[in-house]
Amino acid sequence: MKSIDNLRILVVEDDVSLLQVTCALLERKGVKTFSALDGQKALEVLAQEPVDLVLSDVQMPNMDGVELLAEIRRKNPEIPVVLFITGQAQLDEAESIRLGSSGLLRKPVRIAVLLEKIQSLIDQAVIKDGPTAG
Amino acid sequence: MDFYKWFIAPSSKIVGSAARSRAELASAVAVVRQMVVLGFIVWGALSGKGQHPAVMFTFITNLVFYVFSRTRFSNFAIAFLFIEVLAGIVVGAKSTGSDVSGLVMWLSLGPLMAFIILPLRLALLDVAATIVVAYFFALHPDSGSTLNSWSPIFFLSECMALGILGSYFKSRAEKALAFEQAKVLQSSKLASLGEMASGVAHELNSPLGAIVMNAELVKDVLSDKAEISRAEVMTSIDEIIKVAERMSLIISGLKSFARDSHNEPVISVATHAWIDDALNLCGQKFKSRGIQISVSGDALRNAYSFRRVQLSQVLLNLLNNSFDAISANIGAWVTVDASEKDGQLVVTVTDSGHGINKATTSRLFEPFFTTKDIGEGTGLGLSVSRGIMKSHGGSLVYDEASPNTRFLMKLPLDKFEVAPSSYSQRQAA
Repeated sequence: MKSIDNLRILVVEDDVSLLQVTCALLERKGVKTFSALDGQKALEVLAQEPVDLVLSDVQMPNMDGVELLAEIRRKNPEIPVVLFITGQAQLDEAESIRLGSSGLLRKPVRIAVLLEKIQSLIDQAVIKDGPTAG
Repeated sequence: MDFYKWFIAPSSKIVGSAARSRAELASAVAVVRQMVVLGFIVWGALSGKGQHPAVMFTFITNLVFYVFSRTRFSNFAIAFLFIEVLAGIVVGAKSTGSDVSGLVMWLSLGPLMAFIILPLRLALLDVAATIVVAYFFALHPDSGSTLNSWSPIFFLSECMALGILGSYFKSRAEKALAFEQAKVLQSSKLASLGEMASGVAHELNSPLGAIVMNAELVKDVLSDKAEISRAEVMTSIDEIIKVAERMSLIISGLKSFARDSHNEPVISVATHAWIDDALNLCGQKFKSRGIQISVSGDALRNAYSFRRVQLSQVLLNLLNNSFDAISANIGAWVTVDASEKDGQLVVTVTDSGHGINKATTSRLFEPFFTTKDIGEGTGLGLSVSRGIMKSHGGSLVYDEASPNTRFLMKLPLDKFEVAPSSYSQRQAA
């Protein structure tokens, strides 16, 4: 069974401050993090590094979170993706699940809520046990 | 029937097409006058009296006037009308004693007087005077000489009556036009507000997230059982302060946008102030992607009387378009230059992109034209921006000659009074 402290997570966020602190917090929990400033850069990281989970902002330049989700679903159907939204109107839960995401978190995200979400993905075996998908 | 609509060309619903509406009015005037003149030629032929040379003269000159008014020489058509009127008087004066000379005098003198006394009502008066004369002649075919002797009184009273009628229709037409313009402005304002609101929600939520996360990081560090890292705590607190300051800039930029920009007063404002309004709203976005923004120019410290919020709205729009176009490129940059050139304040926005393709260039300023994805842009940004610039008597142009993508905001300084620069006065003092 995987646990939070041995996960590999890719964080995709166009706000540098938020990206850095999110990674720092997750690192403190033992997570190995990778970061990308937009969808395109995220795909570049995914092509090189196996990860257990992708946390992605929705509104980003170049390639937004929804486009990134579609690309990941096409290339790596196994990797769960959780999207950060700024409001319900941007993307609702049902629509995001239809698109293949593993959930939505509304900004600003509390770390406890984020960790809870990650834990539930492990418990539901959405984050697969065994070697990390690449 | 909305008769008044006849007095405004359809194209004049969009701000600033006065020249086109003038041309349409000129050609409408020519058509009506020509119908009347043709009627007289036919009447002359049928009654066996033949055509008077003055009538033929009017027929030919009016034809030329009509052709001019339908081409891009419409301004020349107005000048031509003036020449024609003078020539008509000469011809008319030489044909004294003839029944039709009165008509020529009327056709000629009417617009001439109107041209001098009531320049704006020239076209209205001319058409109306022609119709009245035609009607009178139809009722009294043999009254040419009577008309001649009474014509000054007829003319003056007609001028007054038609002047009033003309101004009535003109004001109705203006009201209708103002109403249309207000509607267009309102809908475009709502559209750009919507575009901005979603952008701002994102601009604020991300730094807010960073603050919350940093506070949590501090909490997490402080709860460490082992030694507490002071450095880590300080870094997070510094980050919180920095991000909060960034948010306050965004909010101050937002506050200026929240004002009703449609009824915004013209105030004296330093150029750097409205440029900063726009940069405060989007600067962080550029910085986070490593895009260099540099601002320069000799007019930055000068104050001019403009509508501050509207201008920063135009600039914000150009900057956001640049961001969308170049944010993926390495070494991307944007420059904003504000300089005075030929009595104009010219604000140039150039980015590291290599121009816009020809097909897009021709449609750039069309309302609802967008190259962005559905839901990303309304396609109103540039068309609304151009409207704002026109309302300042200026223009927004895309510079095709520049090797990099470049837009110019041009603002004439003579339309809006140049106010003394409080900033530079302070500097000097």
